[in-house]
Amino acid sequence: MYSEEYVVARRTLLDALEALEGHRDALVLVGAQAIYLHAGAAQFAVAEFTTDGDVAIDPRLLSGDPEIASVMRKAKFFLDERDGRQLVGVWASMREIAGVPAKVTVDLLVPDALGGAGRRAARVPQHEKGSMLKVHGLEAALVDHSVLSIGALEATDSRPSP
Amino acid sequence: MMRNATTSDNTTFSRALNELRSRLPETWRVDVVEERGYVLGPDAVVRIVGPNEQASILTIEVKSRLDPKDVEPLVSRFEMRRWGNDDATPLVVARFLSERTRERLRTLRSGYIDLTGNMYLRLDTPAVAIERAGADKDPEPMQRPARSLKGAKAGRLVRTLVDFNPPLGTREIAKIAQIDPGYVSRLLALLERDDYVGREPRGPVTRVDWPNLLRAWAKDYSLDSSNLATAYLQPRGLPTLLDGLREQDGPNGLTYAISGSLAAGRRAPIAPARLGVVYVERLDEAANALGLLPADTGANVLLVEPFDSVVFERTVLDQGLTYVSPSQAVADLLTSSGRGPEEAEALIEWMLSHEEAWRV
Repeated sequence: MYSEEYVVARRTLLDALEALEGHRDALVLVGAQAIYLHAGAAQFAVAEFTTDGDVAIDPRLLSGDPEIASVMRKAKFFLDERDGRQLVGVWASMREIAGVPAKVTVDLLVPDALGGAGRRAARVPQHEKGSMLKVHGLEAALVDHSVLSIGALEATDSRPSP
Repeated sequence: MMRNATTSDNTTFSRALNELRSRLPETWRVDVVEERGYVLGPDAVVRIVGPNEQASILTIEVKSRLDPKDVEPLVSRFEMRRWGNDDATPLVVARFLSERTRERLRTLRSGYIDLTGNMYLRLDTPAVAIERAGADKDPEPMQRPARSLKGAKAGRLVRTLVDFNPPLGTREIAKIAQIDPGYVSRLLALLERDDYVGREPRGPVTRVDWPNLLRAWAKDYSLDSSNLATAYLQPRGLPTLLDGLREQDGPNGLTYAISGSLAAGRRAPIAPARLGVVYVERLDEAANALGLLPADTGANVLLVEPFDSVVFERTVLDQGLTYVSPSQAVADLLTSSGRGPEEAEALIEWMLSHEEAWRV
């Protein structure tokens, strides 16, 4: 049995990955959810991951079409806000976890070295500014990664678990 | 380790030394034998040399402040009464010493000099009797140490400021938090300076930046180290822990309040709860009643005897379970390991958009 948080986190991540289907080759799942896929559950008093998903994007492999912000919005994601200000690259989606309304986010991240000028927002030609966040230290993930299947954690979702 | 010889202490010391010299005949000498910081014993040793080379040793402690209760432990120490083979007379130097503190010092045959002009020193050889009155009230009371949010009183005050809607007067806050108005007023001055609260001139607090106030509190407070926390194992997992807590309903039940992930997840679930954090009045009693086993590894329950009973105040009852207030859950999660800080931020976000639901 998976915790409801994990089921919803996975469902949301799959929704985002489906929305970004046309750019699949440019995407690398990173962060705690990637570690979980590799390592599986652990018997610690610490949750393996949060509902937040992190996806690294290789802008060198990214074409101009489809435009990332528009496909994310089409999949009912919106740029998250904090203190009334829009966050860069943090795509949120309203879900329900065990009956409690919850905002589940997927971060679209570009390694700093490939993010162009600018401080926070990655500058990727033909894509909306602010749709991807520049972060330090992700470069290696674009070089060293492997292909894994990601499926839903619930039987009612037709996207099968491997 | 003594860590009270700061730059400002050095200034205090040299000014006090000048005061002392100005009170003695010009032919007398006041020599600094030793001046040191960061070691046990006096901060400085001074020799007063009078006519015929008669001399007395003063062992000097420089304090940023000295409360009456701390006088005896300070000046009765052996190191303050002896220097090598000589008897020594303690002399306390401070920016300001209260009347009660000065009285204690005199009783214990210690000298003192404060920078408002209070001075007292009695020596047999060479014969010295100096007594001078300076200020009776601290001219810069702001420098009293309401400088951090450490401790139970600060915790009660922060909880009050966060949990209640402004405007809040100083007396009102003191009454709710059950702490003295003087402390409230000093801490509010600090919080106002750092812009965590806004208030009308000499008036009530009208604005509280509660998210940042909670984050600031979490720098001085910590779930683990401010409280007495012990890890246990509930072999059948957290659902069984919650069942056990539901049974505490009733006059003979435990007083408890759930914090941590379990409290945050009701409002802003972002990670499954893997550790049940529960405040209780007595660890052993609670562990027994809830069927928990001591666990060095593999623990899934953290029982916590709180820093203050305020954790049991303004709790939330939900489906037969008692939870700490959101403000307490945030502080506990911010200072927890694992996903705690992220869960705290998610809870703050929920609190920002639902103030009417939790603020009194």
